[in-house]
Amino acid sequence: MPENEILIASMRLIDFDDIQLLRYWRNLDHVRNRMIIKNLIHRDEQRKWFDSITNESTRYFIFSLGMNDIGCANLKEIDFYEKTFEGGIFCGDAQYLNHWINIWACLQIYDHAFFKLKLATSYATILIDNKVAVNLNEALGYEFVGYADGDKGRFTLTRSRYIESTEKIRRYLHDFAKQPA
Amino acid sequence: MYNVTFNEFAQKFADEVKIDVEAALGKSLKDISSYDSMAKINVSLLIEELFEFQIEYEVLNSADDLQALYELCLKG
Repeated sequence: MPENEILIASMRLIDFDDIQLLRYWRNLDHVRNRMIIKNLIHRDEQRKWFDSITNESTRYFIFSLGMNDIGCANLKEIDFYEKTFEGGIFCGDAQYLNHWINIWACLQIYDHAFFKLKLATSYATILIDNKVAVNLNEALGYEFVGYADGDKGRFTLTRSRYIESTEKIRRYLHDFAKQPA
Repeated sequence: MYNVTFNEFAQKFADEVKIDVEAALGKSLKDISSYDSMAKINVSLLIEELFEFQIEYEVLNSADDLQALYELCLKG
């Protein structure tokens, strides 16, 4: 990369051309081992999965830095009547694990859910030993509400908690996550 | 010159990264598993608060250990 090049962070809705990239990422050990469902996804299953997510209750995005696709962020179980959803993210390109772009992508999807789609509450169920996800959720403002199946924790996040919890992070990222005009 | 000692910085760093300070000392930063995306942002905000400048991500990432990071902060 040329010195002083400004990399632009961006996010796009997935389309059919992206599904094999998503499958590739999802099957990598560093992604799969942190999932509740850890099975390998086969080529034909991925096509079926893509068909199943092209509906009103899901939004899948790929986030990128410059020309590099980094990972996937998603909104699932969107319920416009109850105003609830579930958010998720994984970093596919292992070179970018622990990079700020992952947090930027997180804020993008929660902003999309809370401000654009006007949803009010998010729910999350994650493995308790997935410390990265637990820490991330706490930083976003999620509150622990109880255990599920022994090894999983259930968390909830309201719009007001999210706004309050991410104020500093948002200000920090705004200074260097350049976005396309 | 900032009035933040290395020990104070190390303790605050450990609090942000949610580890014991002993676990952070003498260890390569890349070997601290909880020093993840969010922890790096929180450490950046901590540095801004303590040393009154915003550290660039690449600079933050260039520090091998806590002592090196502290010295970068002193230089500003």
